[in-house]
Amino acid sequence: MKDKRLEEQFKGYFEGVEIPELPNNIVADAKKSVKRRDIRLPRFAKIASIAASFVLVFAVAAVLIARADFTVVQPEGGNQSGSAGAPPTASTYTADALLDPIDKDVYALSTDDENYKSLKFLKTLAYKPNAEVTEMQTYSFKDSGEIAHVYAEVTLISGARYDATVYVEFTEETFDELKDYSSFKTGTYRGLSYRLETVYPEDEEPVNKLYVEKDGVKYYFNIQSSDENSYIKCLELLLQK
Amino acid sequence: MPDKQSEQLNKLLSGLARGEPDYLDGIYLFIGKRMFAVATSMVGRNDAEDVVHDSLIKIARFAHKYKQDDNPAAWILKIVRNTALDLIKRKKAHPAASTEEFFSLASSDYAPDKRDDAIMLEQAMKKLAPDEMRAIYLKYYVDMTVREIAAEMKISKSAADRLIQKAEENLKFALSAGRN
Repeated sequence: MKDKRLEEQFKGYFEGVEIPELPNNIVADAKKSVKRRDIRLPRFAKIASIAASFVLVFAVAAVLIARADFTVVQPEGGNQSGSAGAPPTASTYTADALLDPIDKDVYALSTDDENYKSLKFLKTLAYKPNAEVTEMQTYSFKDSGEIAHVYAEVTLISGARYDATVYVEFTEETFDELKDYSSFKTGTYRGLSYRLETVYPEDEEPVNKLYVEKDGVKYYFNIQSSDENSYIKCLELLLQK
Repeated sequence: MPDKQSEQLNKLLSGLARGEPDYLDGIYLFIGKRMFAVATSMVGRNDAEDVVHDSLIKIARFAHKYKQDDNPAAWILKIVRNTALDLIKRKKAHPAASTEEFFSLASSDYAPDKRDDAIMLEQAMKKLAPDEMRAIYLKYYVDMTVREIAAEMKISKSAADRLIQKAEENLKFALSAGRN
């Protein structure tokens, strides 16, 4: 049995170990050795597996129904449109003055609430075997409690390494730190309009700063990668149904 | 009960066992640094990349033999270790000269707070007696069981148990002394 404190200490130590730049061939070569295996289940096991899936679906549905809150809350001013986040009065808002970090399960929100379906791509990323969502935080307005934006940090390895910070914003107004994105150069990818600027930090990989507005939701990405077209990965994620 | 990392690694190994090559990216993302650290500790920095490369090929080939109940990190690191030992035998080289080399990896990539922790750990490790340092290395670096450590150090299981306990106590003491 490992000592918990020492285990944590070593975990932190290994996280910072200096490894060479991810060589293109190191994982690619090994992938050639993977053999697809046809895992055939016996007939009874298939039937049992299907039956188990039905039981699971019913059980989850029963729990969700039991826990659902059916009370109707009237929004202030009688507005029942259910839109995500009433616009605050200022054209930009700042974290210190107006926002509170709140404990919200973003993945559940993206599936359970129509207004936040736009967050589903974060769940998709979290379930990808080659990606890790290392941080996720939802911020709401202190006065109304409505969600202003979700912030996430993601690492993806797919050919190259991609380290991204992501903001998904639900307000008409813009978070102060993100106000410059709307002035970036425009482009279109598979019918999706975007704005993009690339910055080149000294001795580091370039950062693509990407802004997309889709279905009334604003997405901001800072993607650091050796792949100059790293922003395409994000656009493709947003285009996934 | 498996921790979050073990659960994720179990999931990735099972995807790889089904024949999904992309799961290897995830395995490298999760444990690549540690694989590299173990390899470096055994064969030095120059050969470590080859060891990790060959280990990944073995993981890809033998993922279907991995039992889901096992400790996935230990299974992977054992492959790295055996691959490194093969290289040492092939090259008729000696393993990395001193255990101290295992703990000289703190890099400038660390966030400043983590860098302090890493340096503190390295300094605390260097205060241990050589056999204690080796026991800690085998347990926390290579994820060996007490039985494996005993076999590796050619001592009895109870002696290994006592040595590990003493090493852990001394390391914790050195770490708290470093903080104060």
